[in-house]
Amino acid sequence: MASRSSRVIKYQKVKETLAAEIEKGKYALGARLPSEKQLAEDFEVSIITVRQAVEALSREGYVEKIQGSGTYVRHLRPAVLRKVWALIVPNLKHSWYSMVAQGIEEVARAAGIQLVVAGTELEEEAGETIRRMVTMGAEAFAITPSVTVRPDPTPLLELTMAGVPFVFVSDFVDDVEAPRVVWDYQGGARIATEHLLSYGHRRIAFLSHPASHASEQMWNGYRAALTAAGLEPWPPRGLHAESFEETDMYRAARDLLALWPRPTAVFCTEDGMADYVAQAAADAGLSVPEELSIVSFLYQNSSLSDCGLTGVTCPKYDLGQEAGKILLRMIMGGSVTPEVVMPASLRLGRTTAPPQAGESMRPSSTQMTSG
Amino acid sequence: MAVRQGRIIKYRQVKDSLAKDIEAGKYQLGERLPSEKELAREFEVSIITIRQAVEALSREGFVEKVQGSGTFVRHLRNGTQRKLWGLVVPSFGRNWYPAIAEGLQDVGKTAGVQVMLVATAGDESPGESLHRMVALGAEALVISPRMSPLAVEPLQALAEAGTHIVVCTTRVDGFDAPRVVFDFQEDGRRTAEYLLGLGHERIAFLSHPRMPFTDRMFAGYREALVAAGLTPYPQEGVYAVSSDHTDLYRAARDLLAINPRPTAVMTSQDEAAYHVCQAAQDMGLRVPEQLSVMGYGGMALDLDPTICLSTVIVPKFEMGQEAGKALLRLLLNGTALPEVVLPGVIYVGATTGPAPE
Repeated sequence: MASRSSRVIKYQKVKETLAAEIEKGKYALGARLPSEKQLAEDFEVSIITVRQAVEALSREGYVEKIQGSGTYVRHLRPAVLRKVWALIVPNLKHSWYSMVAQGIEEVARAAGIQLVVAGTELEEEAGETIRRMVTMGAEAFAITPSVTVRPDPTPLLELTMAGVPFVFVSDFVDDVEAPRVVWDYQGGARIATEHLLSYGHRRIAFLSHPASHASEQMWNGYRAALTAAGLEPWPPRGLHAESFEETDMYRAARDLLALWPRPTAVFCTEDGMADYVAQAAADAGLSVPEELSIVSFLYQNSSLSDCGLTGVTCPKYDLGQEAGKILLRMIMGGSVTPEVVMPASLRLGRTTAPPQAGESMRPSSTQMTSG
Repeated sequence: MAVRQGRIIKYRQVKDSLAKDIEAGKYQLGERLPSEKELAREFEVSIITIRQAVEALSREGFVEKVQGSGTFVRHLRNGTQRKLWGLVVPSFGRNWYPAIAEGLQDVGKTAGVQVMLVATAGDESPGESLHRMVALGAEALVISPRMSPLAVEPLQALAEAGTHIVVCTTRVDGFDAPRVVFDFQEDGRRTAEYLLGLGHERIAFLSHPRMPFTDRMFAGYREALVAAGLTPYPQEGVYAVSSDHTDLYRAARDLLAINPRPTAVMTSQDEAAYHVCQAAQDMGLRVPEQLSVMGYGGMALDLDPTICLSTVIVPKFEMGQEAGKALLRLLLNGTALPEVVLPGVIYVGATTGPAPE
């Protein structure tokens, strides 16, 4: 696989160099390119690689091969197609990426680049999508790793070896070196927990999807807020669903409500989870927010019936723009900061209220921003 | 342009039928393919086209070219890459496309297909995004047209060159392809009927700028009112100057300033409905006691979580599925139903109620 991939990369480089030379005017419109043999010597690659590069240029409308005569420059720019970046997301069905894509696309567009979005969750072989996009000439990647399956670093390491720039979006893969743009999971969880504390809640539970980088950060923020208020996490290690499957998510929500003493408020790591809590509360005859307050990180996974969920919003469009700017800098060979953290803010809905028994206090402001 | 595109299509046709021949066992694992010259004769194409087709097969792992020896079958199935369908949308942000993509993917995965998404918003030439998808190797496209008229020529050129195309969300005038569309007229009619059922008589229609689909919604709305012995109020509907927040809000203010005030407002978009709620609040009107508000679309919006909007949820996932099924039929039989129409479902949130006394 590595050899196949590196061969692909090699022809890609030859192609890009030739395209750049054409654009710079080294070969004029109508001029004949040097022979394949000559080009192979110039680039110190095999004739096969040169042939692949020329084929690719021909597909993009730069050059035309005329049988028995040679290869001629036909356009100084691609006739139709701009360069392309790819946004790789776990699954196209998740709606949060659409604003991220919009942010990246606008940066890309201003630089004369088109964005293509692809999902990886259904691929039969890890890296299939990334390799396809490289083969098709993608210049750079924005990548959101899956949190449901352990991501295979191999295709990412191939990108690194091939010198194709990429940036992680919203999460990252261990042991793969690349800049990343993430949300302030820790700060967001902290302000959400502080919001519950300000209402007078003392038993605030932590309910998470299976552990991920994001959930670890959120746990830290949640615990920091409790510690500052002289309280302990409840339950001591939080509750994690065993999988993203409906039954496991619902079971975790049920387990949460079966805790004794029962929490009066819960922090959820994602809004899909909050739906199950609301469901489990309804099934247990508990009213939200009177008997149970719910806050969550808001990714827009929540169903319409739960509009009104209080939670932490993430600036998706801004995050996309930031990722796009980083890619631009990488392409130009500039230096980039290894991590950009986008601030999270609390948005008040209708799922939080003071606990029924005990002291309560109104929150002092409706909008708080992390970090 | 057409010529270049035609050549791309030709090599892909050759590639696809060679791949099929391999899968069907015409060439065995390890066997040498006929020479480029022989293949060129067999397919009645140039050697260049054959070479492109073989290169593509080689990139996908089907065959391997051994210098000075020939091209050998290395896999009986495409080892690394699934087929590709492109979903071409006007822009990525805040919209229906994730759910449509999910539906399309749901059907596509059963056929070993991957779906990719591209937006036409930044196209520098008409049809660039369509061509992009074809250049990426897409065998079929699902297109959700821009709400403003779409250039038909590139669509026609691609369709003629052999790319299968299904249109979704709303029709493209002047382009004859199978389509899966929302039932804007029926949705408009049923929304108005729902408000009539609550006892409303002065029911207004507020929209972002006029487009073919808002006209269809308006037509349904008018039909329902006329059937009830009423007329649209105001007569022509109210249209914002643009889809910007400020213009939507201003249109909502203007509408609520009409005397006598409408008791219910239906809109062309959830976003417009949020602005009606906002304007009502700013004018001291209580929703739904004094004013009922209906959205359209059923999108999770970031605007205001404290408003649980009554709206029409359009079947986005089902739309993707139907588009996928239409593509499969096109690919297998060369034909699909000319039109599938999907009505929405009324969702009763907290912004509609009985007409005030």
